[in-house]
Amino acid sequence: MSRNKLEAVFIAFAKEAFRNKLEVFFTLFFPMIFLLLFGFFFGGSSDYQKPSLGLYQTGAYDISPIIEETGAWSLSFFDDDNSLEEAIKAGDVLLGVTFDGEKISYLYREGDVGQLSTIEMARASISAAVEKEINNVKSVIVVENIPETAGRVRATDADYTMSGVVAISLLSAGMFSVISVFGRYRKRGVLDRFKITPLKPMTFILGSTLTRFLVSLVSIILILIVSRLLFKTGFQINWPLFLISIVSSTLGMMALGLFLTLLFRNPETADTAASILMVIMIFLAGIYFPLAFLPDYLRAISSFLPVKYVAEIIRHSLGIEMVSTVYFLVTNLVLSISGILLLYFTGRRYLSAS
Amino acid sequence: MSRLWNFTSGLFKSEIREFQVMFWSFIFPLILYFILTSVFGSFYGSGTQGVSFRVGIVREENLAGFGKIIDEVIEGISSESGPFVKKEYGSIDEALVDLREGRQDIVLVIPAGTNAKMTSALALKMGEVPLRVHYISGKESSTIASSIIEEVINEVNLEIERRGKGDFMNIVTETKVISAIEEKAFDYKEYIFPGVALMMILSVALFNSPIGLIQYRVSGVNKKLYTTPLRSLEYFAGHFFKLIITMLISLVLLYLVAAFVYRVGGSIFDIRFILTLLYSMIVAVSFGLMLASFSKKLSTVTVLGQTLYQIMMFLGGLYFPVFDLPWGIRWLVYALPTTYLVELSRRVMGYQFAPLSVGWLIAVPLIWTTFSLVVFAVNFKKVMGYE
Repeated sequence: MSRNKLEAVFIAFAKEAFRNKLEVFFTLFFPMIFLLLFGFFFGGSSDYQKPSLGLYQTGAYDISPIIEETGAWSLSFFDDDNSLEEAIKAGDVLLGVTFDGEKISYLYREGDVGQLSTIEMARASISAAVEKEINNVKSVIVVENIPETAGRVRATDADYTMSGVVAISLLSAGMFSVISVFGRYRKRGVLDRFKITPLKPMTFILGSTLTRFLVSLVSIILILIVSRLLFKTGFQINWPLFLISIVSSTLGMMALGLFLTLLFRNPETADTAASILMVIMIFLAGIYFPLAFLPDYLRAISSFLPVKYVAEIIRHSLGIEMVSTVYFLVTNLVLSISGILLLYFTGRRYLSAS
Repeated sequence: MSRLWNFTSGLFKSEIREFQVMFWSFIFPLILYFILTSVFGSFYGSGTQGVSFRVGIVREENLAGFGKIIDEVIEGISSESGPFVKKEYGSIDEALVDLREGRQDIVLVIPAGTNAKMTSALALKMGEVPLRVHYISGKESSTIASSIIEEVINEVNLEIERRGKGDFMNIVTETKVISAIEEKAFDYKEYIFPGVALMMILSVALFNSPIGLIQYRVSGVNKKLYTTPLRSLEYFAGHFFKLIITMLISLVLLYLVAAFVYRVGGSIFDIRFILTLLYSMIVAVSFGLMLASFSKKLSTVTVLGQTLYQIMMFLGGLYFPVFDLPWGIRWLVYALPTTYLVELSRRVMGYQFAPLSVGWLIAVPLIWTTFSLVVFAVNFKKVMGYE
């Protein structure tokens, strides 16, 4: 294989990729939209504020020190229950608490779904703490919570969310690009023109694959920079492992795209199938939402979603959640081999002159 | 009239013959409805049913005597209906490796001397029994699981005191939900319905409509149409009705799934709720027309459409609450018409999420509609490709 030919194909593909406004948007800027949206939704912003709790009490016993002791709430006091209700309605107070010495009432706005788990936890913990204090209960069993680090750094919510954005971005860049190259090029007859040139199929495949690596790398570096600046992520990147993960993940995600191209002859259909897979993976791969909340059958499905494994090796190389060396190697190998095999077969199928 | 109907019907048929349109307008909303209810139905459902965390148990000594109470607690939380699935470990190191490598959510350590400490604490009322919970910092499933264990132990402590103390004062706990109309149980399948419906409306209005208009212009179809007796108003009315018909068919499919698969009833069949959806269609279509008037090329309208679609979906609060976002981004929430439209639909259902009056919920989308239509009217000739 001539190095000059490979270089020429690579440069041509790279120029095409970076000159194509749509591709630049979908591979470089579109992940940024997700980064910002999911970062603000699930990653927690750097200007974290404690949720607000409004208290109105009439009994002799003052429960405010108990609530303040938890350190979890920004406490404000109200003179009557009507003004407390108004504050809840207006969204100024997340959780209202009234206490008359015997009864605690919890007030919150209907269907504030994002805060339901916080409210539920608060209800259980505040009631228990008040009952404990009033009855002067001495704890028989105490729990000591010990934070552990799964990686080289103590990760934050933002670190986990941003590593998920990196995994989804690799999925998007790898899967959609091969549908474009092998689906659309084939439909437009571009591949037929290549067939009649002296260019070897492998040179074409390598040239297009190297371009994918470059595009993925540029996209990931942009994500890392923006997530560092906006969400104060504290990755401790092991660059050799990170680059290996990017290459194998891109190959693995390309394999997924190639599989769809082989399955659906029409590139638009393959594109649609890829979009469905993408939505399924965003919600079910345990990247943004804990798998613990999924029903059993969806949890079983999630173990078949490759992006779950991509997220794991990316987190490993970013230093936030380690996996065993064997697991890391096997995952990278499976992703790479599936990509290489499918590239080889697709190349032979669509690019061989015979 | 029949001329308009023929033209509309032709446009509609040509539209739905496209696989992409068929899929994104009719099938995708149903898939999304299924995924969202499957994922978040249990997330926001009542209790911990269906929730399953993994806990690794390390016993530095086997429990006996009073120590059996802890065994009962562990069995209770890891039974079939419990929120935990337990795995016993022979050593802490082995358990921590599994915790760090994601095979466990938390590790509960029962230290050596627990039996003696339990006896001392319960029989002699001396000392306390420490248990250690190791969790992964920053990992949501791990922190939630450790909080649940802590709450369970708190309850156990209270229960021990309750049984041993005759004059234990029980605090009555009650919950009051502040809602717009009346107190009602939260149903995620019902809550998400207007979100999915609005997502479908947006996809038709921001993709099908502007892409269709620009495709007809750049491919020269418009020029051919101008040579016919078809008036521009008829052309435009045909385009508008085509979109509305597409949205209505999709909405009917969504209603069928909601009613027969998820048994959602009542409020989504309320005529006022249906009117809010029709209002959303008009607002979204006018927004899409404005989008078309800003774009010369198909690529531009695709990029603009995708960007606005994602922003309007997520920051409009279609799926997640948005009023607790930082102000750096919350201003955008207030600027988007979708925030008001989805809130309006949910307000009719009896929910209230946004600190906004109904007047604002109607007025802001109306301002957007007027503005969009004015922009479109000013650029009408450009959009339609009149020479």
